[in-house]
Amino acid sequence: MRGSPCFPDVTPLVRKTLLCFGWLCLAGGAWAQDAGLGEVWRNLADRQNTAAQLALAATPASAGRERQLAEAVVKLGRQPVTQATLREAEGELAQLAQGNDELAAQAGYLQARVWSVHMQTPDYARAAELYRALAKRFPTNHWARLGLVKLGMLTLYTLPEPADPLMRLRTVETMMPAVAEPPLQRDLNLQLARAAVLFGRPETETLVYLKAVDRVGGLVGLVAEEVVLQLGELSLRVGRLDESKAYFERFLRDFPTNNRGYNVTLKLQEIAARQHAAKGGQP
Amino acid sequence: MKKRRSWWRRLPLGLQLLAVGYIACLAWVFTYGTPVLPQKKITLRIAHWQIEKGPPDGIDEVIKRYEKLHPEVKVEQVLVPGGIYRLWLRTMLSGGEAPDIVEFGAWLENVTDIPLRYFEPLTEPLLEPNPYNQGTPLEGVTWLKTFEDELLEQRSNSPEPGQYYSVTMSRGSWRMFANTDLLKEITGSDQVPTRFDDFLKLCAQVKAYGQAHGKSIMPLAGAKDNATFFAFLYMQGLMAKYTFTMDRDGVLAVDNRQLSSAYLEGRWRWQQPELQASLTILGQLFAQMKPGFLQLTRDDAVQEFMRGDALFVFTGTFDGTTLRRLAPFHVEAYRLPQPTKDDPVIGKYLAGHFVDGDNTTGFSLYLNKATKHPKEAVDFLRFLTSYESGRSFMAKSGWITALRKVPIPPEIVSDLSPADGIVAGACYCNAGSEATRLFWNEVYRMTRPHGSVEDLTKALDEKMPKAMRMDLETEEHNQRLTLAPRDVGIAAVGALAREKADDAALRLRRERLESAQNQSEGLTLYLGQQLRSVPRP
Repeated sequence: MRGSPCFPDVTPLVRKTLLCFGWLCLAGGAWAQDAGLGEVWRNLADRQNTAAQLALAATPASAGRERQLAEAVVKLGRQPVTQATLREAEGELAQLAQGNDELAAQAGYLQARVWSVHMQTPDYARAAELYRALAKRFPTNHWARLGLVKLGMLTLYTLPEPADPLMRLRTVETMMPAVAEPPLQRDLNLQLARAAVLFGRPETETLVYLKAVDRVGGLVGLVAEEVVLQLGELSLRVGRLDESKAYFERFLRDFPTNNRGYNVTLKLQEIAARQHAAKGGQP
Repeated sequence: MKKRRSWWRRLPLGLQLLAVGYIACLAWVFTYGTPVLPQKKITLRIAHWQIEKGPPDGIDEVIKRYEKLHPEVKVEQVLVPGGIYRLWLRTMLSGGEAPDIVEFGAWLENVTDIPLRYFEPLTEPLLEPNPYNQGTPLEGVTWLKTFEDELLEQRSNSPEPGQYYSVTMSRGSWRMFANTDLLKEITGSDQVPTRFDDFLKLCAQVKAYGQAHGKSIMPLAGAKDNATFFAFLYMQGLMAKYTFTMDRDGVLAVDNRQLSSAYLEGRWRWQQPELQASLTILGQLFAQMKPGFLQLTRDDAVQEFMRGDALFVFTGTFDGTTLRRLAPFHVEAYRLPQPTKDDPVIGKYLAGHFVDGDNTTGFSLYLNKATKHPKEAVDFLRFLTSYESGRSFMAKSGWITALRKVPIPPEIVSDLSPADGIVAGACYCNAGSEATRLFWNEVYRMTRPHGSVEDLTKALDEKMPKAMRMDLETEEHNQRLTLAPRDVGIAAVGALAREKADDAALRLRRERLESAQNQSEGLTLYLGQQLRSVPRP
């Protein structure tokens, strides 16, 4: 009986079994590699940064650009955060952003985030520049659109130009078509509404933004309830009594557990009195 | 030379396979299989600071029932005094030794980082019915909707908008607890006036009675804590009309952050007439407490009341059980007397009847992310906040349950307020850490002999701009701290969504995370803009 160079003294049957086992091991290894990165992302999503670091360490370097991205994201979340680590992560993200795919768009977005919120002293101008470049390179990508929402907020509150508050609002309004995705447009309209109030713009203008927010819906937390309150109250302030009444009634119907319900019932009484007076009755 | 075969290769193939199979079985049994030895008893620990009379007994009662139902689980209650709770909790969480379930409050100072770092959201189980409600009026109702306020506090202050991190145990209000034996002795009746001016007349009657009988009886038990409760409630209510003029957003309330911003923008001052009038009313209440009350604590006030040295103690219904069960006299809870629009001091500035308790539930319990028994801990939380447990907790603790549809015993039904009060939000004396500290440091200018509201408000307006600015800067800093960690989560969920583009739940999670961050980021930048737009004092 002649053996193979690798398995000199085994029967063909055993040799075939061992070969099958080897292939299975290789396939398993490849699966483990995928599971490894999935595990890293899952841990990061669940804020288990240490577990994510361990999972990342167990993932082979051959996992490619996605592994590099995961490595940079792990660095962004690793405690204690140091400026040196952030600069390192930023460099890696900048390199990854050179590509022309989804990973590059995500890396480009995160690179802007490093300057915008991660660095101890944010560089908003740099972040804005990166958001703009990203939107230009990947106009239909989600990360670029999310970046536009962030750019909109920077434009409203932080960037030096345009200096005039009204121009800030108008500049951000022009971004809206490029933001494209309704949930992101909703978030940006919410910021426009807040800024309009802060800049002392007329209630009618704020109402336009708020109605756009309301059309999309799906906000989470107390803000969902407050948007309906705002729509009711601002409509009342500009004398749109029927609209105001409808919003306040909707508030009582949709959010019966909000503790401002009593305030709203007083508002409804006020509206009823004003409507009665408008029809010629005594106020 | 003949090559020598290893012992393994000399074994017949059948034996080799048998050996491999045996080892695999051993590995399976010790890693994945059911334990060979009987399972050890699981111990769950629940920690809270509600160590007043009542709640620990109520929870013990629920634990006993749970342990009967689940003999494999033991539940221990860890009672930690409120004074050291924050420090204790942080130490335990950092050391990985914290109990499985812990009480927490979003309003606790200097621990705002804790929920995101150490607690696990309960959103998913909250959106399913609580199985322990089977056969009760809450059967089939999602767990979230079994709470009277559907966890309003979590909607307002969740560490991650859209996520629920806690469940609540109780609700209550602010009440004037009276020694009705003494009240009858003094007035011949057990009625307490509802009008503020009549209440002040009663207070004068109490002082006169004490002098006539050679006793030192104060109308109100005094302590800084109880004065703080008064300030919190009355200033919010008395100032409601003016507060609403500052509600630029139109949300029918102004929060403390907006109040601080408005102060820095010069939209209100302590020396303006509305504030002077409100502080005059507050001063009239403080004058019913014994001199030096600012140096005393809530326990001192309770003791003063228990000794019969004060006719009333003003506090939250969280003290109700202690007062009712330990006082050697009959105790009754009364709603607060409120000034009306014909009041000569404050009348013209009033919006109307203000809130003295709403449906917001509290005593919030969070799940420790590091618990070794998450499944069992959630199961216990479900049991603890089930209809039957709500009933037994209420009977034993004297605290009103947070749950809907559970009948409230008649003796504590007065602890609840009907929805008949205006909510304005802004707490002028408790606007932020620095502003609060400054107010209470300076309040002696009003309460000392020959002190005055004018003295107090002048001093506050001189020093307050710096304090308010510091509070806003802290707020901006805290908001900023939440942004960077969320980027990591958003990047990760985005990467997962790339692999599973058709996963609706993942898509929703991603949208919510991004939207929550957009809201927080907008607020941070908004605060920064506000801070830049007002000159530094």
